[in-house]
Amino acid sequence: MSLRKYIIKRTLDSLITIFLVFMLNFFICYQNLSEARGLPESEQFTNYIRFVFFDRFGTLALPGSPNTLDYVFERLSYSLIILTVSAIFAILVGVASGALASFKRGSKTDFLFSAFFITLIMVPNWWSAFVLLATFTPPFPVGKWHSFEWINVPFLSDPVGKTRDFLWHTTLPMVCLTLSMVGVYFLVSRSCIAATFSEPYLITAKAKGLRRRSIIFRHAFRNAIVPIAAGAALIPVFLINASISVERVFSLKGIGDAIYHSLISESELPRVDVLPTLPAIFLLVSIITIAIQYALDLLNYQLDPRLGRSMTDGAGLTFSLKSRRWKSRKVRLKRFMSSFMKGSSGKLGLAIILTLIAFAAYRPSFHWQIQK
Amino acid sequence: MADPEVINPVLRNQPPSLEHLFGTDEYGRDVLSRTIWASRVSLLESLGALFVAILAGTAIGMISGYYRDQPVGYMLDRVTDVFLSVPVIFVIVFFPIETGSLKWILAVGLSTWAIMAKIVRSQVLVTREKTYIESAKALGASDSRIFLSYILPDVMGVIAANMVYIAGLVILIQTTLDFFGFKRFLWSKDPGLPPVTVAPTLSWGSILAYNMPTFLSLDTWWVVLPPLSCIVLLGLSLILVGNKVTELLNPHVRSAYELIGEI
Repeated sequence: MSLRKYIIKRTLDSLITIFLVFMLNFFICYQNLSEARGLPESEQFTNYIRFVFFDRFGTLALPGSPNTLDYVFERLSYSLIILTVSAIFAILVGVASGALASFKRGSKTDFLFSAFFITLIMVPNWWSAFVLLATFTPPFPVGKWHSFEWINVPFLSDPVGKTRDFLWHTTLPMVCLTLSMVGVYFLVSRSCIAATFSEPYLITAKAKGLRRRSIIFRHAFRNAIVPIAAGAALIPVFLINASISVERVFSLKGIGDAIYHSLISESELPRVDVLPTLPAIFLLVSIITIAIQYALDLLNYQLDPRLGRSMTDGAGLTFSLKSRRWKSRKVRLKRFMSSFMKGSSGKLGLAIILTLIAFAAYRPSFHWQIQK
Repeated sequence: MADPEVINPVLRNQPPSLEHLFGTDEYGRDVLSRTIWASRVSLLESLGALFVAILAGTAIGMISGYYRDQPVGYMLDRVTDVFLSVPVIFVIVFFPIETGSLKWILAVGLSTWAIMAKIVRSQVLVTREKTYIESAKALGASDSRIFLSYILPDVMGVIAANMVYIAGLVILIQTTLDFFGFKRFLWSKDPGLPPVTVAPTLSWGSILAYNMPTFLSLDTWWVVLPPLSCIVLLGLSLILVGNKVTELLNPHVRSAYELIGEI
């Protein structure tokens, strides 16, 4: 399967998935709204289409808020940043410690790492959030994205100061989100590296007399990257659940808090009439997750030369016949980037991620709350 | 052993003693017996949900992987994608069964099966190209025989190895539902009536959640340590079982462990 065919196929798949999510949203969320109750199904559906595409998910009973879609975008903006950063940290830390544990497999380090990360997986993240909150709150602030004096400063006038203030406020939630993800990634990378141990080229590497470190980090680890990258598709499922409890505990006004409050009212009772934020969040979060998975699939296609390319292509052959002398880290990074940028799939994946980040960073924050 | 529900205001927040091995909570109830009593609901719901998730995920993953080129397999794969991308909490809250443990087992299980289906599907895609499947087809084996006797043993190792992620997610969702008190609220379908509030079910998650303020203010570690360590031990046991099953079912992996011992 060529690259173009692969992209077309994946795009079609994603569009069908989005359509199914659109239909599921109608049955799960929209039919529970007060404005939809009691109407016949056909009328409900035409109302639903108008509701999504023309009414921008209706209006909320909040002062200064024009429509639900803008409200959800504002809620998403900061949440996406902390979720992305903590996911990246979780991947880096998890993969690094997984590689280290498989390097020292069977030793005391391996056992301690495994016990620690399994504990992290199993401990509920609202629990660790509460413990972090109780331990570190006096130095760290809680409950806001920005300090009072920084709220109305535009980002571009003082990017460094605003970023520092933002980090100061979101360190604890990000640590907590990272802790809730890192254990899964540790186990994934550890088992993926272990799965390459039975491949014949590792026996070859051993027969050549290579050192253990070079066998594991250069031969086993590189080939384990492909399944590890594929496992990143599981991250959004975990992160959305984690963000609900973490944002509730740290009382941050993010997407998790919006999900909670679309189901539970301010007096901590379940809403009889759910808010129009419910279908909006459902649809937007699903579409973002599908986009992330789409980007990851294209990235995987770039990483794994076996995926869909025939062996007689010659591409793999020339790669293995190249003389592989030791190169400096800078040169290797350059080579990696150039091969990553070759073709359009890597660029496309990177572009989608950057677009999402830009989208997240662009939205101005919570103006309708401050202006009364 | 003390009754888990009997309150004793005199003996509030007592540290561990011979009479109460894990001390007492803020109402003077015995923590040990409460933890043991809670394990009934917790284990039933988390293991039941895990079982439902694995069963549904394996079945759908195998069918969608094996019939990859046919509309059935394609649509099942799209449905898997849908469940992998929607926020799980909405599916759980609006699950159409009214009350009881069965609701939470089915709701949590049927909203987390997609991860397992994806993993199983990717393994089946590899397995279905192998020559022994082809020879089984040439010998005239039916599809059900190919599924149960040829593909399933190959997939079992993957299921056992990846069970722990599903378990972690299921337990996380269970405890989160306890924490937010979603389980206390029963959504009534009649729009005129407000939701019904019932007493919280006694589970490890609810013990943790309801004793959180006391723990943070008075440092009563003995109240939260037993349920917390129960949750961690449940995960640890699932991982150990999963690893062992993987080794037993997958001679490939076993030889790999032996090889790495030599390296």
